[in-house]
Amino acid sequence: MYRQTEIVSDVTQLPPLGGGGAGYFTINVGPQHPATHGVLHLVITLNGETIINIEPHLGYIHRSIEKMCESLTYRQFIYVTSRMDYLSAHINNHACALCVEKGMQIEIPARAQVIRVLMDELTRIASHELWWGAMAMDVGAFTPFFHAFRERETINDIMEETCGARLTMNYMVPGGVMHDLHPNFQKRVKSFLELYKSKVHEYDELVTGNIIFQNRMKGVGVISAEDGIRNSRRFICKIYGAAEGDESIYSHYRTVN
Amino acid sequence: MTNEELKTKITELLPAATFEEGGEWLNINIEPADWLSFARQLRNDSSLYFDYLFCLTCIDWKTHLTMVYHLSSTKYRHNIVVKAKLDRNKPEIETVSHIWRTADFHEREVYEMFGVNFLNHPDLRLLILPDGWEGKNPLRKDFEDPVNMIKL
Amino acid sequence: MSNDNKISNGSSQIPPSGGGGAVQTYDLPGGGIVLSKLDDVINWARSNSLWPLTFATSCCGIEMMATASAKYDFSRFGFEVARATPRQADVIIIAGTIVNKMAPVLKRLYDQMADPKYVIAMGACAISGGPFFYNTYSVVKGADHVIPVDVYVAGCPPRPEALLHALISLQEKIKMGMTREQIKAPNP
Ligand code: SF4
Repeated sequence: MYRQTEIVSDVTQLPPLGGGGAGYFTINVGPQHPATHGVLHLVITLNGETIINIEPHLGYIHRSIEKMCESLTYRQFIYVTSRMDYLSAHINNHACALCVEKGMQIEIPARAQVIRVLMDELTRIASHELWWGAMAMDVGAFTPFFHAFRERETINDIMEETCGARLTMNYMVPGGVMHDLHPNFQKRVKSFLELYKSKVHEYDELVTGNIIFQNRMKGVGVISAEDGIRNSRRFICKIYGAAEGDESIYSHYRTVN
Repeated sequence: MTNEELKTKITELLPAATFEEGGEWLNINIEPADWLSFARQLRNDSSLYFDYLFCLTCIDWKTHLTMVYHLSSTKYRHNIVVKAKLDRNKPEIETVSHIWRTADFHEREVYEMFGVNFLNHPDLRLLILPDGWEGKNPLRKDFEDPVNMIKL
Repeated sequence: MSNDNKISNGSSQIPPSGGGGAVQTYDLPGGGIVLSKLDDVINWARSNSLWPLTFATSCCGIEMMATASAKYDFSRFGFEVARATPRQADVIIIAGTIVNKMAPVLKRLYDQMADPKYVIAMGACAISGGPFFYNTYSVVKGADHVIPVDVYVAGCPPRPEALLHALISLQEKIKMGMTREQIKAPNP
């Protein structure tokens, strides 16, 4: 059985970090650690296996993009946005382009809008593929990673045909997109969708339906709706629909599982 | 609430506030000294209920600094932008990290990047920059770093 | 042992001769033996079992993961598994931007690795700071300011094929006895 995570909401009640109070154990995770997926440095206070306090140290990949952009034009800035969240380069480009368009009060052609949304959604799938692959890897299963990357590669190929890059696309620019879709785009997306649909049950069997995975994940890191909003975790709240009402994420989470 | 209703309501709460319109969201200019009590009202007033601070940042205008707070209500789905003008030589404003927890880290970031001093902040330290950067504020417009920076 | 060995050059060369000495095969009753310098054998063995360290700081790291995944699969070339600790790794692939705060960490990781150790700088950022060269106050302008680099791969990000090419180049370099460490080592 999994152990319920005990959440200490009042951090001031804790012994000072590094003080090694009775029963508490302080460890460093990162900045180079396989589970941080990137560079995050956490000073974690543990009570047994329960995390009671985390002190994050950020900035190991602070590239001072804001400073650079003081001397870039909006058009040049697009290239930097691709590198901000490299898993969803299109979405970053899109946000930047929308911002400029809104400021200039211009409306882009309908076709470009559709292309943008299509690209965003494909990137989102690709990004989530990496997320669940890596997530399963973190809890100890290596195979899902390969399955996830198989589909991710298919999307990358589609992207490559149209945008000319696999990861940092720079495809959306203020005023529309760089150029039209590749003639093969439609065909390939359709065949990808079919392939993807046929694989979803496989993922379910392999990961979400897996009893080991479930036991490891259930009840871990539960955040109340209130805390989620207070701490600005909009994304999590959106997923569990908690921001819509006062019902807690936890109860929702329980009903999902 | 619509922007008009928000405007009427906020004028009631804080008569000194001035408004900027034309954007999508209502912009409210306030004095830094009013901010703490005003923030409490925004958070707790049952018809406003701004429980979600989704952006906290600062702008350097070379003559002065402006703190910018973007607030949203997850219940009523309305948004406002609050702006407070700070003195560039001695920027100080009350912290709101006990009202919106998320402000804690945002304020630390603004502290290191712009040098704004948040009064009564529980833990005002560098967040992103490495140790030894205290006092150098990279996002100020007149920031120079001849060692690390190659100017184009 | 019979004395009438025939010397034949060039057949069934293990290890493949690079810049090292000639490889000679002697036919003996009961099978051939291979004569070579011990160095060449060691280099050959080393070059085919290089375990990379997972050191992915940013975008290039995603391409490194793609190279590790099934489609490109660098295990084919002896980069068997990515290790999470520097003590088990032979090659560090610097995949991503190195910033001033990260530089001491990178140096420390490199110091913790056991000799022989090799370094690949993947992507424009690790080569020179790349897109973040001008007007930034926090980016290290090239990972070789921090640790020595053996192979550079250009690209932003380099394609997985490019990374594979770099890995194979590193192998060739090791087989030829030409990596930094081996040149530096005092000749016996
Ligand atoms: S070289 Fe390009 S893709 Fe690689 S880390 Fe730097 S910005 Fe990202």
